[in-house]
This record gives sequence, C-alpha cells and structure tokens, in this order.
Amino acid sequence: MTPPNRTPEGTLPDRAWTAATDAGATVDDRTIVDAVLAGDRDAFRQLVEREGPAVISACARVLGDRSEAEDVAQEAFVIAYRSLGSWRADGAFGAWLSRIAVRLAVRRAGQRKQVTWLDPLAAEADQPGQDRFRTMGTSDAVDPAHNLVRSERDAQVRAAVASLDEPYREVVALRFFAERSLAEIAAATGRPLGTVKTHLHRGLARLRRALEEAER
Amino acid sequence: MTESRPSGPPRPFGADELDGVAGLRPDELAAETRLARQLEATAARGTVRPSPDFADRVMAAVAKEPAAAPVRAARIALRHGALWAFLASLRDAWRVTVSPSFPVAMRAQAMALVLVVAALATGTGVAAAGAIGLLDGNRTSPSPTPTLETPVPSVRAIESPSESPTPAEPSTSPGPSPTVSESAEPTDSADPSEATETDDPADAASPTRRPSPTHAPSPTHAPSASPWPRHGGGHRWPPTHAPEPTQEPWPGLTPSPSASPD
Repeated sequence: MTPPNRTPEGTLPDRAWTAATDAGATVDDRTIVDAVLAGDRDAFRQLVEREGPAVISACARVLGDRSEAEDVAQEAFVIAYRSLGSWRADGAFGAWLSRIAVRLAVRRAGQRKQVTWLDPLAAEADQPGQDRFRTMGTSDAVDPAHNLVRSERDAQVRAAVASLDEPYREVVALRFFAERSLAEIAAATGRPLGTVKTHLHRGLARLRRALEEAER
Repeated sequence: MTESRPSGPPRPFGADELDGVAGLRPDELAAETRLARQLEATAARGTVRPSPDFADRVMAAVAKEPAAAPVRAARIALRHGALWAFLASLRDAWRVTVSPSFPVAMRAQAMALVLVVAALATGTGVAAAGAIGLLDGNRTSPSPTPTLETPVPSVRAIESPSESPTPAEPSTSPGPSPTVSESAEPTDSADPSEATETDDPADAASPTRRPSPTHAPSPTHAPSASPWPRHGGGHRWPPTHAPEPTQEPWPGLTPSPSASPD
C-alpha cells in the first residue's frame, strides 16, 4: 500500500501529514511513520494520541495498576520511536506497538517481589470522581462482596496469564488484553496464522489448568 | 491494512477463531470459549483512559531522544541544502551510535554516516593543511633573515645591564630591563622609590629611602635601565660610566634589600 502523498524517493514532503490531518483526511500509519523518520518529530504525537488508550489499557490489564501501566506505556512509545525504522508496514502499527508494550508489562510484572491480590483498578474505579477510569458492568460495583470476589478473580487471571510460557503468554495477552485479532498478531509476530491459532489454543488450555489449580 | 484500529469496542472471542487447529475437541473448545469470556470480562474491567498529560509526557520523553532515522534525515537535509539540519542529524547519528538502546541495524547505519563524514572532514582538513603549508612554505623562505636580526640586539641589550653593577636597584632591575635596553639614558626608574613598590613594604622601606638624598643612582643607573627621559635627564651618559662600581654609595645593601639600614 503506497500512500498517495509519498515522494518517489520514499520520503514525505515536510509536514505532509499535518496538511492531510488539517484537511480532515485519514492518515495511515505508514504516512505518519515516514514523516517521523524524515525528521518530523511532532508527527509522532498523532500515533501517541491514537494508540495511547489501547496501549495503556493493555498494560493495565497485565499489571493491574494504572500509574504503572502509564509508565510502561510511555516506555513502550519511546522504544517504538527508537525502533521506528525497523517497523515493517505489513501489519498494523498498533499491533506492533502493543506487542512491545505487553512484553514490557509482563517483564515489569515479573520483576515484582510480591503479588498484590487486591485489585487496584477496581478500587480506583469505586472511588467517586474518577471519571478518567472507565469500567464496564458498573452495576456490580455496588456490592462490595461481589466486587472483592471479582477483583480477586481478575488478579488470579492476570497472574495466570503472566505465568504462562512464551509464546503462549504473548498470544493470549495480545488477543485478550491488547484486543488484537489473530491476523494482526500473526503480522506483528511474523508467524503464520495457523501457528498463532495453535499457540492460542495451547495457551488457553494451559491457562485453564492453571486457574483450576489455583481454585483448589 | 495499515490503518490502525482505534480503541473501540472489544471484539468478542469466537469459536471460529480456532478453526483448523488440529486435535481440538468440542468440549475443549467450549471450555476455552468460557475462559475467553472470563478473560474478556477481566480486560473490560481493566480498561483505563490515559491521563490528560500522557501524550505530553511521551512527547517530552521523545524530544530527548535523537532522531529516529538520522541517516534519512541527513540525506533529506543535504538534498534541501539545510546545513543546520544536517549537523543536527549528524549529532543524532553519533548519539544513536553510542547508545546501546537502539537497534543494531540503526546503530550500524548511524555509525557508517559518522565515519563517512569524519573521513571526509579529515581528508578535507589534511588537504587544506597541505595547501596552507605549501603556501606558508613559499612565504617563509625569505623571512628568516629579518627575523633573525631582531633578536641579536635584544640579547645584547639584556646582557649589558646584567653586567652592569646591580647595586643601584635591589629589585626593580628585572622588570624594566627589556624596555630599557634600547637606550641607556638614566631615568627615574632607578629611583629607589620604585623599589619600594615591588618589594615587601616592611623590608624595603628603609633601604630605599637611604639612597634618595645622595642622588647616587644617577651614574649607576645609566647602563642598567630606564632610558626614558621623562624627568629631564636630558644628558646622555656614556655606557662606559655605567660599570663603575666605585660610585656605588651603599654597595652592601643592594644584594639584600632585607638588610637593615643601620
């Protein structure tokens, strides 16, 4: 796919993405990345604003901590910026970025010395005035006992996912925490789609066994 | 295909996603679907929005980083003739080269750019130095004659006062001697009052005052120093008068200004 405003040399004219954005046109990832690689650092902001919520959410689902998730997401964006030249445009930029972020989040979770079983995300969601935090199914949040059980269950699921071996952990986290399709995962990881499906199946099987053992 | 999906509603897991997996039994598929629903519920409860300044913080962190592709930026700068941008990309290339956090391929490209520019700069510098040296060699060939002539009198002038009796000045003789050498006229520089300026006031005060009433310095100072006729010493003293040590009024005091006058 060749963006319409690319020059024959493969680089973009200065501020091409800005002009396209101002005109209301949809700018694809390749155009923005080319602009950044050409030296337009501000073009990277568009990627940050577009992918930031998904990346932070993916990190928060792995880590269970909002502020820590933002730190990891910021680190992921900086690493993505450094490695921008190595991004192949054969997949979505968000999937490539999510892979970096999930890896960092899993690594950060593994560096924790103790496991927090109380769910900081749920506790934060129950506080009034936390409009930055969006929850789904908030009707359950009115029951403290139910909320506590749910929080413990979520923490168990996060810990079980984090304890999976690679590549199952990566595929499961990208599919359910980063909410990427299997095709996107296949493109981001460079594996065949059938391999990704097999990894997902085996990862879910191992995760189910781990959760069953944790409930006993 | 490269259009990224914004953070929208989550896509629920479907059993068809595992189509084609070998050895997948229906009961396993049902169990995994239930587990997938649980994972989706956990993910839904863990959805957070970024803080308002998240993008600013990321961009601030990115601003500290060197350019993502300094080689490409340098090429574009050269194409547009932007010297400052080229130098900036060169600086970024150096930062990428020395930073281990960048991918190896990018570091290799940046290092190649740095090496090429360094080689070009070195070659240009050597060529320029050779050209300048060649021109300078042509220019210096006739010059030695006048340059060698000038030091000869200056050395003589320095030597002549040193041979002259030092008695008159305990301390000021080294200072004015170079300038004095051009003419041997006696001046006030030999006046003992100047010696008090340079020496320690506590020690030099008393010996310098003693010669002043005798006016002895005039003969002794003639060769040694101060050719300036500022104070009306209009008559020239022949250099032959200078070395007379007998006119020294207080020979014992001159070597050691610290000696007590009485």
